[in-house]
Amino acid sequence: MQIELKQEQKIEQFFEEYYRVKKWDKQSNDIVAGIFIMIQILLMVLPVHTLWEEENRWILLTSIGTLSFCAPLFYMASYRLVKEGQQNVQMLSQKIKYLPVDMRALKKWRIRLLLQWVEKSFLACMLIQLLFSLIIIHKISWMNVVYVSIVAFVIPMLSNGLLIWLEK
Amino acid sequence: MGIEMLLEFEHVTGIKKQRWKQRENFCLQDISFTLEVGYIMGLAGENGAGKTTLIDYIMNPQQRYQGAIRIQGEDIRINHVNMRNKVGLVSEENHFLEDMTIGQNEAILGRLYDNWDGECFRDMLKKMGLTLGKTVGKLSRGECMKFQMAFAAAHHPVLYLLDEATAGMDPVFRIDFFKILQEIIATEEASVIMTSHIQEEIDRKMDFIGIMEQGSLIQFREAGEIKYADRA
Repeated sequence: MQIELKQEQKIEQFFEEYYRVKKWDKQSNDIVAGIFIMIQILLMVLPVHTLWEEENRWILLTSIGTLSFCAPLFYMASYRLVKEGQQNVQMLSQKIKYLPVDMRALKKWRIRLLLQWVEKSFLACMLIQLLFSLIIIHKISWMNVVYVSIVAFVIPMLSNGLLIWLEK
Repeated sequence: MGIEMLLEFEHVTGIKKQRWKQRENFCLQDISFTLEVGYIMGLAGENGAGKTTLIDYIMNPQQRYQGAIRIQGEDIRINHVNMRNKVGLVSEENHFLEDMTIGQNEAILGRLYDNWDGECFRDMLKKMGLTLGKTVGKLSRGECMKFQMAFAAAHHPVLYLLDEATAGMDPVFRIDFFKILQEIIATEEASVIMTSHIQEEIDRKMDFIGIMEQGSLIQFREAGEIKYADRA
């Protein structure tokens, strides 16, 4: 257990040093993801605000359209960012395969990167869209909520899945 | 006190694994030999004879084989990670970060070794005529081998595995290279396995010679008893 912990620390320090020398700012990932979230919130808030004053279905449809266009873009951008990180790990694992590093510790690191992707892009986007749906519930019928949910959740998920499949 | 065996190969035979639509893996065939501390063993043979594969069996934990490979009496499969602390590899394949400088490679990769010696690394670089600021990807083949040698020496391994290390080196430096190698063996109590295609080098610079053919070690003798050049 002690040895395993030491190996994981070794891997962590190794990547920290690698990113420091490479000047690859881990925070840039968060900033780009943050910008996408802000754009999405803006696109969502504006039509909802209009809906509050007078019920115009075409505005709602425009909002859904923009959202369904924006969500896959967001997924794509965040996926690419994490993929870059994954590729780095893949390249580095080739470079260090003959060095005294436990490859199991490296695999754990890759899983952590994958979880970061799920955490940052998938979950964040899901939550925002859920919030959006909840706001709309007060104003429109349940059928529309189902429609919004399908467009907001299923389509981005499918497009994201397709993107991952195509990348493979 | 008995003779200290540094490396032992005991009936090492690779286990073939064939995946769907893939070529059958090349395997070693019943390899047995021992190498004591303080000697250079030369591995000779034609391309595809299994010289690099033999080195890979030591370095790569994913290789499957019957028999045993021991370093300082310990089966390398027991703690392969720690074993790699004891081995210095100089290989044709570049395992370094090519877009970074020698110094950056040291900072990033050197830390993975338990007993990394930065001072020794810089001394070796000086001897090899290299500087920390050079980008690894821009090194010539000979320079890259020198850098790898300095990197290998800096973690004080007990076994050096040199795969075509002198290929691409200029003949003048090759003489110095062997002097450096002899010095390391004398001071660090290490041994060397070296593959080479240079007949003169194999006959004159090695203490033991192993000749490989189709994955088998067909001859393993002291250098005086066997001449690779005569065999060719």
